[in-house]
Amino acid sequence: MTNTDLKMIERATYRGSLDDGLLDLFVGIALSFLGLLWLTDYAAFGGLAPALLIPFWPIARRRWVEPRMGYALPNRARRRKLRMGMLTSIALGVIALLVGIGAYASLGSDGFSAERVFDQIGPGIPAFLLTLMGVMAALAFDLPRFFAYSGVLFLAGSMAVSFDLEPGWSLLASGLIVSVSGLTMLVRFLRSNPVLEL
Amino acid sequence: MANASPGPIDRLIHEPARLALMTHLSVVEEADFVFLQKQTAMTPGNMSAHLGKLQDAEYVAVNKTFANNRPRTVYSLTSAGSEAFDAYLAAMRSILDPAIG
Repeated sequence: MTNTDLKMIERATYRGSLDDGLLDLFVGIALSFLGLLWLTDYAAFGGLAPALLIPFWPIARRRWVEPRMGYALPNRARRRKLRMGMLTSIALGVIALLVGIGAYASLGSDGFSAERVFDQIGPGIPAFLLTLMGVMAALAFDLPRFFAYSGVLFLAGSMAVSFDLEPGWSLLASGLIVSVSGLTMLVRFLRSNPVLEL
Repeated sequence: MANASPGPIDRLIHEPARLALMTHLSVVEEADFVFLQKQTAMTPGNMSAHLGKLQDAEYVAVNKTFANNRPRTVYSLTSAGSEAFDAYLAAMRSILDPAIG
């Protein structure tokens, strides 16, 4: 067994521990909630979604996942990678937001109007920002399916731009798709993994 | 062509069930009984027996903690266990690599 084999086993073990769909379901619910807040003009409270949901994730894992899959603490290297990835994801999101705000606030010469550009792509900006964070989350969590979710967000944002929709619709639609994906995975997980009787 | 003698094979680790336990414990910080059973597909009694042997050799440590006010028993490799596992892998590679080429 080579070091590469052990890395593959570690990666498979780690990824398997997140195949229950709970993370996807929580992300989908948070996105949907954010979309609804946007559509009801309460977008400023968008931070509530993750703040309300995050505490429930470990509770849900202990209730539904651990009796079936058990508990394992990832090794130090993995935990360090997760920490750095999450910090980078948040930092990139903030930087992208600041760059966007800065670009919007500045007007270019020669007739170029950043304001006009942002007016055109404005409906898609929230989804595009979350796409970026989704890509970082995919890298941070080492979960390739989050690249697909990022693709859904980007597509939804593009459709919002094309049809001049409220940004909330792209978030709500993406959130519902991710939620369905997560729920499907969770149902499959619960059916395939009965509680182990010891 | 003379090959260097391979290092001794640790028979305690070499047994397939215990090798599976050591392998899975080597890639996580700690894990509970249910996790190890799920990964190795052993029966509870069989796994308990093998874990007991690894504990007796001080390759595996048991830590009884609490998580959210519920007792939790977790297993982890000791430093001796980690070194023994590395030595076992090195010994196996020294045998297999020349043969595989």
